[in-house]
Amino acid sequence: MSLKRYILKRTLYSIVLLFFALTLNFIIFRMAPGNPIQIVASGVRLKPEMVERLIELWGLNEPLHVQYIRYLKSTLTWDFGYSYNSLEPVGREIMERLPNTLLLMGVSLFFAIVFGTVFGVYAAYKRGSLFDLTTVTVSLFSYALPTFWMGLLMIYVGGYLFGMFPLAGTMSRPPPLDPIMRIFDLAWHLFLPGLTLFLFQYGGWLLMMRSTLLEALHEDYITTARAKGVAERGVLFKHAFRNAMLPLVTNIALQIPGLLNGAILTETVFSWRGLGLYTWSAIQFTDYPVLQAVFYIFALVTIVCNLIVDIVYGYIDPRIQY
Amino acid sequence: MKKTKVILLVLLVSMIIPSILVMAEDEVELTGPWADELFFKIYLNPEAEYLALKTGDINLMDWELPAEKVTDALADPNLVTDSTADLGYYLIDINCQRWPTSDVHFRRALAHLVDKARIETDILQGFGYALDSQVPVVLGDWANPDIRTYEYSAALAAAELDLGGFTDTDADGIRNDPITGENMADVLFFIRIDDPERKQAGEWLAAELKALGVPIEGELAVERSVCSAAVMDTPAGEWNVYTGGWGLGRDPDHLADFYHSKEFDPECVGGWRGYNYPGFVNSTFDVWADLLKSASTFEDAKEAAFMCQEILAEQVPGIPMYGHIGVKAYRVEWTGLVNAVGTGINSWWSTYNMHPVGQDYGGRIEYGIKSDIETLNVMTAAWTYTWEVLDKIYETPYTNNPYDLADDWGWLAESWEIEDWVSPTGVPGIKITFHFVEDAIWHDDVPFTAEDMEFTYNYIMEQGIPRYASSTQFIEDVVLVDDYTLEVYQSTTSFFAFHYINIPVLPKHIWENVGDDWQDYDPVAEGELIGLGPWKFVDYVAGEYVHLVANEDYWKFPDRFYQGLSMAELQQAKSLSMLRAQLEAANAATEEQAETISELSSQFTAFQASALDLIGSSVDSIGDLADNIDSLDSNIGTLDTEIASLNSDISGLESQTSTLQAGLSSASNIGYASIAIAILIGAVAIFMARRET
Repeated sequence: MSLKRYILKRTLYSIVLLFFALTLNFIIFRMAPGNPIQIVASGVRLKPEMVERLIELWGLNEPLHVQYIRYLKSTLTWDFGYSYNSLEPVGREIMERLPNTLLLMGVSLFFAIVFGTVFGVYAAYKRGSLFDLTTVTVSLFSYALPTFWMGLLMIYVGGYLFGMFPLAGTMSRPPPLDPIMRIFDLAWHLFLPGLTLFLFQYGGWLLMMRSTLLEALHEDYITTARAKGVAERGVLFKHAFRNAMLPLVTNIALQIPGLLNGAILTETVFSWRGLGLYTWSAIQFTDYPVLQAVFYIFALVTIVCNLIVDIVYGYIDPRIQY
Repeated sequence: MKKTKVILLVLLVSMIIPSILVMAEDEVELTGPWADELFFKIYLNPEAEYLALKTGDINLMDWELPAEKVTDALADPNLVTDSTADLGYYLIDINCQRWPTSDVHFRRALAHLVDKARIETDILQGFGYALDSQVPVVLGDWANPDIRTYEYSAALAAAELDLGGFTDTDADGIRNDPITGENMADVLFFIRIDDPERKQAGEWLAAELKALGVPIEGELAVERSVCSAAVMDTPAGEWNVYTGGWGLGRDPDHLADFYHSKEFDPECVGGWRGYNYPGFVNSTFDVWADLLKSASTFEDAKEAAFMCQEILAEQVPGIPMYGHIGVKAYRVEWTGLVNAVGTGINSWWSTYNMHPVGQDYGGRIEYGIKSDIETLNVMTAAWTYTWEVLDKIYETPYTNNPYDLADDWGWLAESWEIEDWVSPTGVPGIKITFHFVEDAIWHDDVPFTAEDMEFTYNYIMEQGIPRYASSTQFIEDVVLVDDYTLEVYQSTTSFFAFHYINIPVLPKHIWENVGDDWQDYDPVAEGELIGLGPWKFVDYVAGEYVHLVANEDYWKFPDRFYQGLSMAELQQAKSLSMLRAQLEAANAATEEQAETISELSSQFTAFQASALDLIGSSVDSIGDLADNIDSLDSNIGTLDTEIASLNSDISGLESQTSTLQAGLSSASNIGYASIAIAILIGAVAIFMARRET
């Protein structure tokens, strides 16, 4: 099988997977308890004709298969309809929140990869040393702690006890007018939630890097390299690390969907207005269009990331059989 | 642990009782706002919000403190706590359609077994109060204080059971069924486990009943969704006792909704058993419930509400247990907050009245809220926290006494009349005539008129806006009488229908351009978030904050000058005020003079310009005149010459005339002499002739 055919096959497989995810997404929300009409009319008693009108407006009176086809069409055209709660277009609300989530995820993921990899490599290289012991212990600890708990701890210590960082939000009120100061203000607000997500991920990266590298360091080609007189630095980075990169690449792609989940808790704890928080509010309101849209995006990101990994593997790992 | 609980209880009760029972209206200042700015800071994490209050990052917060936070807040010298009763209540629902709870004596026996004092102390621990009526005290005058109550007593309960025939005839420790004579069948309890308070209260009741020889099945402990399916959605109604609870509105019409027989749907045709899922059917109650719903005056509605409460207390389709009390906190640096019934210290009135301690007005209110707001489109907004913002920007025709929900206060409509009315189709209804204030202006300086209110009702009805569907559902017609008078015709006689139509008024000059696009309309993006309220919108940053400023053009904006002064200071202030008035008059006079000077100056300038024009044209005229004079001079010279020659001619003529005159005189003399001679001759001739005769 050629690489081209392999990519085509993986793409088709992803499309089928996406279709199933979409279908499941539709079924789950139709089976969930709660009536959206009651949510809109909370606190008021609507006339039956008004209820009928809303049902008609939202297409809830149509047979399920019609609703399904309409749902597929609208989702694939990125038209997620209106939120039952805010009555605003869901697509617009998602786009408003996406940059904040990307910023939080991006910054924390970047630092987690950099620090996790560097410390992981060094810990593996210095296996059994005090540094190794300390970093592994700290990593296990931070990896095991629940995100929300860590977030609360950060708020208490950094925000309340020392009063060094804001307790919530992404900006001061009102924010500085000067663009440079605005960036500093954002960074100041990003610090605690970013640190929380960083700690949540950093441990995982470090442990993974360490174990992968340890495995690589015991391979025959490392012994050969050392026997050839390659400097220890070269052995570590040119031979061992390069081979340990493979799972790293996989994990980067697979971590992104997982990060979205982590963002739900972190964003809620720090009142960080992103997609995670949006998801949480939608769950509280039984806001089907929002939940369908967000879950669709989560599914899409997961499937696309997997597809990317598959394709990248096809290129970088010659052992992959097409 | 027990000691701590008692101390906490004492502290809370001492704090709570005054706030519930002492409801002085004079604590409310009708003018406002007194602060300069209002920031809503959005905290989606309640823990962070509370810490922000402690650090002073916010001055006021929205949510009720849990017990552990109350003790912490009470110990914090920077915080002030206050409490209020929630708009809701918890009760034991009793299935009146299933044996043995269909027997009123059995139900009364149950009522005697609810130990409300213990619930207050051991379960609620000061965060609630015992309740006898189905109308909680928060609804003020609607609560009937004279209904039948049931003292907690196992003996009285046993007596009621005996009265109903539920006696232990075979002395086996289990009471016998008065119909079958057999041991009683199990009484089915549905106890909610998702609410620890209700769970505990339900379990106590079950234990008490069991101790009296009534078998209990399972003491079923289920969560809300299961309860909902079993208790409310099943036609068979396989349950006897359920630990229920309700949130309420400001009116007591829930009595009719919860217990009128027409609200009971035994076949679940409408998908559930209806609001009256206990299946209480009582024709006398129905009559009063109908009267409650249709009464057109407060007095009639109140009488009906009282009667409904009396019947319910007698028939016991439900046993009211308790209402919740919430404790909220604010910063000690602020004063003037209003602990409104059902809301607490974060009421609308608080932001309207509050100001920094030691400062009569001004300051920036930092109000923490635990949710982001949604759209600020007043036609689609549904979320509670969105309305925290919107109700400060928009106005409604009237408001209510923050200490008595039954007491309506004139506001944008300073007065109104409610009259009976019959529609052209013969449906009885009411006509409400609003008389609006004449000095209210929109935030964009456009004057408010009754036409705005008329437009609001019509717009909502024409567009069929769901948010206000129930508000306008009985409106038949809206008639604009004049700029400040509006008549609203409703096809119902219910006194409460008046409350339905108390909705925010829209600025016609803005919303008439929105038309059919009300759902997509974003007033913030359009820069058109214009209201009439005490606060003006400045800015909203999603997920972060909302910024409002005091509306200094508000028709109730305070004369801040006299606020908070002593008598001596007041005297000085008044003198100062007079001076100020004089100064203002002088300023006004100066301004008037300045205007006069300005006017004179402009007149002078105009005069100067016209004078210059005149001079210019005069100079030209003078030139022309000089030329004319020269030509006239030459003409005069010519004329002089001519005159001289004429004069000489005249002299000649005069001499000729003299000559002629002299000649004429001589001729005349000759003539006269000739005539005289002729006359003499004639006379002689006549004499002679006569003499001859």
